[in-house]
Order: sequence, then C-alpha cells, then structure tokens
Amino acid sequence: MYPSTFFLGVFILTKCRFVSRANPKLNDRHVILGVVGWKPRDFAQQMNLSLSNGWGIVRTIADMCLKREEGKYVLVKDPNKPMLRLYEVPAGSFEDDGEGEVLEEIEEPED
Amino acid sequence: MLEEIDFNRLAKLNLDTDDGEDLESYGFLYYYDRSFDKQAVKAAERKLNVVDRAAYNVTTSSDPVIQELAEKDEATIFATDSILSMLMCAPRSVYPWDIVIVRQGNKVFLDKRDNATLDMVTVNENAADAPMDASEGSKDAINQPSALAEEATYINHNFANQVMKENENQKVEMNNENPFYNPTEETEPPASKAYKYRRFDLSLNDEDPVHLIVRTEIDAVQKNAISGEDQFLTVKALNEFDHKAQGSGGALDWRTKLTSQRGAVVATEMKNNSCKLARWTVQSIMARADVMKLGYVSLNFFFGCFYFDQM
Repeated sequence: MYPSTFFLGVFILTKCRFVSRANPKLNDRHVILGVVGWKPRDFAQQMNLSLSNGWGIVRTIADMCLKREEGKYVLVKDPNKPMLRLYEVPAGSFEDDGEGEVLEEIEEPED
Repeated sequence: MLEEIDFNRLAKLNLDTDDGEDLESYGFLYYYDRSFDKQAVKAAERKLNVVDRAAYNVTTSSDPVIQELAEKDEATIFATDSILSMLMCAPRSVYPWDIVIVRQGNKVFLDKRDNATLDMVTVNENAADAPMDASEGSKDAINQPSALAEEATYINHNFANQVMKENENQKVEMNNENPFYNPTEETEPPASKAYKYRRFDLSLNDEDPVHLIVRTEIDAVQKNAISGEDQFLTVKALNEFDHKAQGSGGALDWRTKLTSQRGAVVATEMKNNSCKLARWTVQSIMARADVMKLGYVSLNFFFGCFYFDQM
C-alpha cells in the first residue's frame, strides 16, 4: 500500500470508528455476546458485598438529617477524595421539575 | 458544610435487617427470552437493537405512591432503589455524585436531581487506571467517563427491552397499573417493569421504630426450569471496553475469552466495575429478585475491526 492511501485509510477508519461510537443512534454497532444469570445473594458474596454495611450507612445518614431542623440538605461525594459531605441548602433548591410548578407547565406552549 | 464522613468510617457501619415486606406492586412483566442464555459463539451473536419503550425514573418525593404512603405514616425514610443503592455502595464510588435529602416533619426523603449522575451507568469506574477526562476535541473523547457512561446507559436501556418476549397474552400483571404511564401522552408502549414498594425495618430498638420504604424494580419473569414457578428477574448489561485503551483495567477480550474463561471475565468486571455491580446487586436483593441477568455487550465485528485495529 502506498503511504498516501495508507494515511487516507487510517483517516477514514479513525473517523468511522469515532462516529460509530459517538452517535448512539447508529444501531448496528453493538452485539450481545451472551447472558449469564446469577442469584443476587451469591453474586454479593463473591463481591464481598455486605448489605448490613449498606443499611448502616443509610441509617447513619438519615439520623444526621433527623437530628437537624426541617429543611433541605445535599449529600455530596467529593470528586477527588473518598469522602462524603453534608451541606444545608435553601428550600426550593434544585426544584426545576418539582411540584408547585404544575400550573406553569400547563401554560407552556407545546413544541 | 455540616458534616464530613470519610469512607473508612462508612465501611465500619453495620445494621442487620430482614428481607423486607411487600407493600404494593405496580406495572407488568413480560417473560424473558431464554434463547439469549445460550453460549457465546460467533454464529449466535445478536445485534443490539434500539427498542424504544417508555421508561421512568421518577424521584422519591414526586412518586405518587410514595406520597400516599408517606401521608399514611407508613415509614420514616423514603427512597428509590437507584438512590438507595448509591448511598449503600458509597464506599465503592470513585466518581462524584450527590443526593438531595429533604427533611419534612419527622420524615426523610432521599431524592435526586434531574439528570443526576447516579442515574448514569459508569464504565470501569474502579479500574486502577480508570478512564480519564480527555481534552476538548481529542480523539480520546469517546473514552472519557461521561461519553462512556452515556453509551453504557443507552446499552442498558435497550438491552433490557430487547431480551423480553413481548407477548400481550403472556405477561404477568401486578396488582396495580404502572403509576407513571399515561397512554394519552406517551407515543411509546410501556417497558416491562414491576415497581414493588417494599418496607425494611431499620430500628435499633423497640422504643424508637424506624422504617424505610423503597421503590424497587423488577424487569422480567421466567419460569423456573424445574418447578415451573415464575421467577423475578433484574436485567442489566455490561459493555466491553476497548481492552487496549487507557482505563481498560486489564480487561480480557470477551469475544475470545467469554466462553473459555467466563470466571476470569466476571472477576475482572467485579474489580473494574465494583461500584456499578454492587449497586445492581443491592437493587436486585432489595427487590427480592430471584435472578440477576447480566448481558455481555460488545462492539459488533465490523466496527470492532476498525475500533481495535486502529488503536
């Protein structure tokens, strides 16, 4: 193969590869190789996954909020550290799709 | 900021509970197509199709069933399986996420924001050398965490819909209809899905009872091969990551190894995707699913050639 056609080929293939994954609507890119069924409890054991540890975390975080005032909080996983942080946020935060906006939604023109 | 908890402390917490009790069930389930269980051989590979079905992921406090249960004082803590599994598997998480907690009266609602990161299916989050953010316009952009998560989420959604036998005469109806599906508004038929609202006892002693209600999800049913009884299934998909790219975490080539070294493939996935798999497992156990089906999805041969050869 001549170098020029080689590079053209690489370019086209690279482009094609990119499009094939970048555009999720292309529907023949993925294939199913097989399916394996697991009993969830067996799988948990193999992963060393403890449900009671999970429930302990849930209860601890719930207690943290129950001992505080009524209101809204946000629990954040630090982007870089293995750590959770609890913040208080003003009521009405993150409510871009909450209740109380039903009336507005009805008045919005259909698109 | 009010409190800070590091993962070492989280990992030491412990609270034993029972298997939970069923309160209400909504929706319907199709039967799983067992022909997908066959061994992975080249001739048996099937294309992943786009199957658009109406699926819902309504946050806790907007769920009409949970609102009703909260009004009747049925529990103290309310959540969905996806939010709860994120919290329960927090010590395994690497990428950032957040949960909105609403304290209302004597109740706690665990909520998520719209398009929350915890709704996305991550890829190789726990690999020693996890996928990294690429610079704008770089050719590695398709292998950065957000792009991989978008692809994996899309694969999961379609895979679950494709492995059902959509036979209207053979489906298992729950006691109530899907609480989110509105046939006059939706253009797509509803996906096979049962929402089971289940209650767990998180009390530490008899004087101070604390219960939690969670909306769990079952994806399909299958007949037990021996007894013929209906078994409940959750259906998830693992997608193959380019085993030569940065962030592959030493993954094997599934096409050549899935049949001969199935155990090794699963072990590597458990390591590289510890958080994702732990969340799916917790969700399956909370829903009391009998079987968790894990599909292996790869790039198809045509694109696979381009994909792997050019790396």
